[in-house]
Amino acid sequence: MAEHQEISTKRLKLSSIKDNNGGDSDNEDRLSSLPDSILTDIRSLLDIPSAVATSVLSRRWRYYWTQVTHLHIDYDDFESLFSDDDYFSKISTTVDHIIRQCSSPKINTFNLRIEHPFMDEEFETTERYIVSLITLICGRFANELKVDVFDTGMPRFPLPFCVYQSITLSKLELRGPFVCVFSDSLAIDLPNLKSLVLNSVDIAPDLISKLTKSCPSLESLDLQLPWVENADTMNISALNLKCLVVILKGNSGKWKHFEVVIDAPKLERVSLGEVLEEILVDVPTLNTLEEVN
Amino acid sequence: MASTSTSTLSRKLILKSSDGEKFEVDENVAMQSQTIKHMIEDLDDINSPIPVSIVTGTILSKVIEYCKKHATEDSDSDEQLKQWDKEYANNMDLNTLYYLLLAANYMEIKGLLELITQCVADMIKGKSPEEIRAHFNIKNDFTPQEEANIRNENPWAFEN
Repeated sequence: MAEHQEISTKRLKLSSIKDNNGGDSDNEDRLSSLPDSILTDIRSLLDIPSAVATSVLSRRWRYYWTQVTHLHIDYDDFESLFSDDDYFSKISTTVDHIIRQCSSPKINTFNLRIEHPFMDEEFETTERYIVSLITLICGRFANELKVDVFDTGMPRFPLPFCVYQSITLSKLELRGPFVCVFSDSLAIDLPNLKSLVLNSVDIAPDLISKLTKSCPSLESLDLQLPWVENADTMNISALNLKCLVVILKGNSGKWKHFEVVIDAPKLERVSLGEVLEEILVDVPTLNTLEEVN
Repeated sequence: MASTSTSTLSRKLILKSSDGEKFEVDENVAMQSQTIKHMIEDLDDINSPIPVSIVTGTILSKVIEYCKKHATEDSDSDEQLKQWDKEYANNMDLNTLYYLLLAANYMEIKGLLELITQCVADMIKGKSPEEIRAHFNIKNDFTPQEEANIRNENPWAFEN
């Protein structure tokens, strides 16, 4: 009997607590009680340090951030490590550690902005590191891959082959000291690539021809090309291409005999840089196009 | 002006909230919800009220306000619409935002879900864990030792 009474007083206490808080809903933690899918979406919008910092909020939040599918890594976000002498390797280890903790099998978007160290002897380490990150992300079924390497005179290095065979990729944006090289025997397999941006990336014009032919879904192509030896003709042949930007960089004299042939029946917008306006551009459908500068 | 003439052509639907409130809306407004779109396809009589079972009248009226604005988007530029979205989200208190998130998720209104998700993410960004806990009333159920261990796993995330 006594036991019974005790339970009922406990109940009473519980309900009175609920009354105090229940009416005043400002005191409730509704955020933590949202469905997992919504919480994961929220975390995916956070920068990496903010997302990781949520692990300490409460038990409910402990491993949530590891389910993110959008990874935006900017080396500026790791300012707190800059004071170290070997900050680059510290940041690299940290970024590796972050990606290892991410448990989602699919990384939708990977966005990396990186500035390599100014020490010459680090070039090779930086190169190996960037290549390993790109390889890792391509293996996680990425839809969007954006890598921006702030170029401070680092020697150029080849893009790993896995990039040309990432069948889930729909958007690829590269800026930095990359070289696109592949032999005729390499089968390019980018069936879903819709948007391609190559900025300051070394690529021979005949490889651009091959690349555009191998991307049946390509709708937008943005090329900012540095001069490469023996460049003569670039054929851009893309059935579904709607938007094209071509900017040739460097001394216009070098590009003097360069020729661009565009075969893109669905083209709607073209923007050509200054150098190109002086050289020969053959676009069969250009008359009907709106030229945007 | 254009929107009033098109609305007379559009069919009307009746949405019924969880607490029984009824809203008459144009079909193109309601169709922004994928869930309602699918419900209509399976419905024989479109004149009978469509139950939106987990959403209260107060929240449903806010959802409809969003859908109305986005159903007639050609009258506004993208810029104006973004500005409207921003003011719409900023005028909500935290509780309303939670219920809107649940409603947008249940009704599958992609734009609204993205808008509110971004709004909540912006509230978390740049805040210390203590500030986030205070803002959202999250109870810290770690022991001080456990909390210290978690901070040590990714120390850089906590150095501001």
